[in-house]
Amino acid sequence: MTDAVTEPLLSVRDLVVEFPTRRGVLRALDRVSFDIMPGEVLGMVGESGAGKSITGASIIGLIEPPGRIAGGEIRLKGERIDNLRPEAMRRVRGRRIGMVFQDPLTSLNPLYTVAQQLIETIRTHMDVSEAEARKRAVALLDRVGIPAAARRIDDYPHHFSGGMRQRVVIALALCAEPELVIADEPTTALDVSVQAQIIEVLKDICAERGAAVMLITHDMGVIAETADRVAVLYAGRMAETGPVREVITEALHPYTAGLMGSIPTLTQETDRLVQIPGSMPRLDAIPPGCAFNPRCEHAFAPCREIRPDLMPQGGGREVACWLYDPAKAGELRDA
Amino acid sequence: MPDPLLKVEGLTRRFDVSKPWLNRVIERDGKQFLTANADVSFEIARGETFALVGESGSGKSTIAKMVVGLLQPSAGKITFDGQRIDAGAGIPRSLRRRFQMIFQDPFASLNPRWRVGDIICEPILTFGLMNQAEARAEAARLLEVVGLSATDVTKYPHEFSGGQRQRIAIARALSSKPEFIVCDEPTSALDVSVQAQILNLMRDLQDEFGLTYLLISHDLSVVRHMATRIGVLYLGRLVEVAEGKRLFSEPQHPYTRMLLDAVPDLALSGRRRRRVDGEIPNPISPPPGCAFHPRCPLAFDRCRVDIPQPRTTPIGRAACHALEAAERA
Amino acid sequence: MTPDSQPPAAKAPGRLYRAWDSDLAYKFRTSPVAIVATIVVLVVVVCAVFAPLIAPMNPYNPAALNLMNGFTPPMEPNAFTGEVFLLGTDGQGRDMLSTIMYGTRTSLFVGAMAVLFAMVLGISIGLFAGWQGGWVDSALMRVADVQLAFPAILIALLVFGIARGFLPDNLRDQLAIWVLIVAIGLSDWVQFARVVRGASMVEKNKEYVQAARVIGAHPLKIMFRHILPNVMGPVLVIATISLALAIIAEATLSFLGVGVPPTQPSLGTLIRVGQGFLISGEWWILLFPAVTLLALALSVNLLGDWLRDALNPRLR
Repeated sequence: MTDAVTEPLLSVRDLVVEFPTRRGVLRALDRVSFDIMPGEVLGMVGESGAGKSITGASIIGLIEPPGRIAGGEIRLKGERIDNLRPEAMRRVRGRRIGMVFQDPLTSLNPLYTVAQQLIETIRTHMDVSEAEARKRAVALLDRVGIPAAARRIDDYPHHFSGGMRQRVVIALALCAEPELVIADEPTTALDVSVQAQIIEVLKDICAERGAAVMLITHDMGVIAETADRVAVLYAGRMAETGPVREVITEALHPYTAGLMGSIPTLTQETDRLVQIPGSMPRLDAIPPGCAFNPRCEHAFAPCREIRPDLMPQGGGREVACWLYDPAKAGELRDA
Repeated sequence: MPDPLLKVEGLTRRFDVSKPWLNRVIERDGKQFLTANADVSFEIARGETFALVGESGSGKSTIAKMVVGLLQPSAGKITFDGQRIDAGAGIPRSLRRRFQMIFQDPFASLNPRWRVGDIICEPILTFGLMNQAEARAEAARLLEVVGLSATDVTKYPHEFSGGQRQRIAIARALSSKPEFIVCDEPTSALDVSVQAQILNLMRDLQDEFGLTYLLISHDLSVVRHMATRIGVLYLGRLVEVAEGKRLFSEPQHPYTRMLLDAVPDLALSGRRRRRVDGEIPNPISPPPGCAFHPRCPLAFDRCRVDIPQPRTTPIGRAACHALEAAERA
Repeated sequence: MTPDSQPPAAKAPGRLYRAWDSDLAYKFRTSPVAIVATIVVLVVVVCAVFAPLIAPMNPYNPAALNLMNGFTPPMEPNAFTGEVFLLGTDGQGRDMLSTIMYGTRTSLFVGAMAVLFAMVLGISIGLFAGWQGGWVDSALMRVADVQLAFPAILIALLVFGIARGFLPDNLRDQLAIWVLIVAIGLSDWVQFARVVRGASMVEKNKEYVQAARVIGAHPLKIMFRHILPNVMGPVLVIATISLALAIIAEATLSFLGVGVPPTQPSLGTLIRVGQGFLISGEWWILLFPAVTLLALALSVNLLGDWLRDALNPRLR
């Protein structure tokens, strides 16, 4: 557990990401705030279009133009990284923040051997000789579980199977010893039996090196097994954050509760899955007030008019829902 | 099983993945075959949901395609309601009418240039069940049944979300009033909350219309929720068949146990798990004997030589030498 | 059942508005090249189609000709009759504007029909090859490859020559235009076939085609009603560029003297005739038909280019 006095490793405050289109500006992220403590695994969960991948992309500075960060701050160990010039951001990327993408087939350059890619990354960020870089690369491959690493390091990516490739990608993300690793759906493209292996590797190696992990996924099962804390996104806004066990067993936000109920598990005995009526609104049609209100069975008047911000609930939990502060909702309405 | 609706015996499918003739001659390579399925046998009773579960390379989609006639089996028999449907001459129209298929990708399974109404009407008109006007009315009615609005008949698929398109695909599958629907990963491409809506819808429709489902999936929790009986595939072979819920409480085959151990689950996180080893081998050159033996904790010498045959277990059937040996001991 | 659609918004926009507001229409409205090219093409096409109604005279009516009007420069009153002709007259007193209009009419007719013929032939072969696969596909594509080895004009000449050899004398002139259309079409079908074949191979594996196969739909129905609408995008682009090429091909053949019969001159014929007068100073007899041909072919080409870029999802 983290020390309450410790500074967060990554601090995101009121992040706004916009995409100008010819029909107006779309807000993919609308004032999203969260922290990641050093060494912890934060799960970023949400359905398609909720904005979780965009969050990862904006932290590492890889938002595709014309999309852009239109507001808020991203701080890595207290220093702002959202407003860096491209040259400075390139130094941060890789050295201080590593990234693991979903599709191992396209994250590795098929024309270069694994050795060349690892060595290039190591030497870009650290001042070591080629021989030293190679030694570290082999050790890293061995650590992520590639058998006969010293020989296989000279193979091309297509010589590896899917799971092996993803291990190589993890090695690549960690070779410059970053403080934070952002993993965007790292196991979605893999078979179930391989998923478990990859999650284990990722978790162990990051714990070993003291790197924090931001695990972006739509798979709550993976979050349940891997993350310390979870942040739930809905329509570009943060709905709830908190320790994983508590959010899953006792969700505060009605959306989170509905989400947990709709996931079939290996042990439940119900006949019908919980069903949230309707679907997540498109970015150009977000209702006023709380974005979830049209689908929420607990919605009352303030929900339709005023957007709730994240409110701390103690025990490290926060939720953006007027159910937990109806008094304030009433005040704001009357004001 | 007396009078099953679908009976599959010894189903085998090989694909020729050889290099082109000229390359083979120059490189002096032989022909290469990929055995997608070998000797698969199972039965589906009327009104039940039979699920085929497996990872990549298990051949589950190939079986689905063979059952509906999209692919010809290399060997084996498929019998639908007592009549053979695997013969090369094609499936007679009267039989075709009685089954349908729902596909995985809601974005590719609807023709983007056709209106939704026409898409749903197509099976009705192809089988000559109604005239144009009646078919259109039926399409509107079916849209309401699956939870969309009758006015959606004039829209195009791109105007709908993934979950809504899957509903349209279900409406199309229902339009010819089939008895049997093959569902190939119907919710894999959908978000979890949308998946719940679609699965609930499928259950409700099954109750209302007395449908029989063959459900193909890689997601064990979905399969547990939906299936009455489950078949587990590994590299093209059926390694275990068992009653739904009991497969999860008393798995027999080591691969089934490994799979259950590996699934990250909401409710079971923090459970003790055995370390999972290895990856699925290349289907073009599978290991000899039992294909699972390189990864199996119970493997012994016989496993490297003989392919195990299915034998009865307390919950169904399983093909495993170790089980057989334990039984005899 | 729980309804899934969004609650109805204010009255849904009508189809015309949606077409106007679509991405393609927007790109068109904001592209000066596309707009100018379309205007030029429209002007030329309207003049050509309605030539009998809007041309100042019918240049092929011998009774209306006045030889004294011959060789009048543009916009200058004729020395003998005092008539003024916008673009001048040719050697026999025909108003150039009218001859160009009628000539364009012939050129466009031949060009459009040739492209249509090439499209029908190429699309059918492409669909069939893509659907069948295997040796049928290989055989058809080899035929296409072989034909590509020959220049289009050469093939057109070949077809033309053979046809003229077979046709009885009296029908030669009447059928000349159709022979020409077939000749140019036959030289052009290959690109349609290739594009359609490639695209239909991709579409064939998509699940909506599998869904149609599951219900036992006839392969021809699947090819033409399911696959064809989805491969038309690139076909339209090629068709516009082919039109430009067909017009030029016809002009070339007519220029060489083996194209349209003299009774129905096209722009190519006019250019051939006008070429003779360039040295003697009656420049307008060559220049205006040539400029018209240039404007038409260029605009159609530019429109085709724009359409290809606009429809390309990767460039969006």
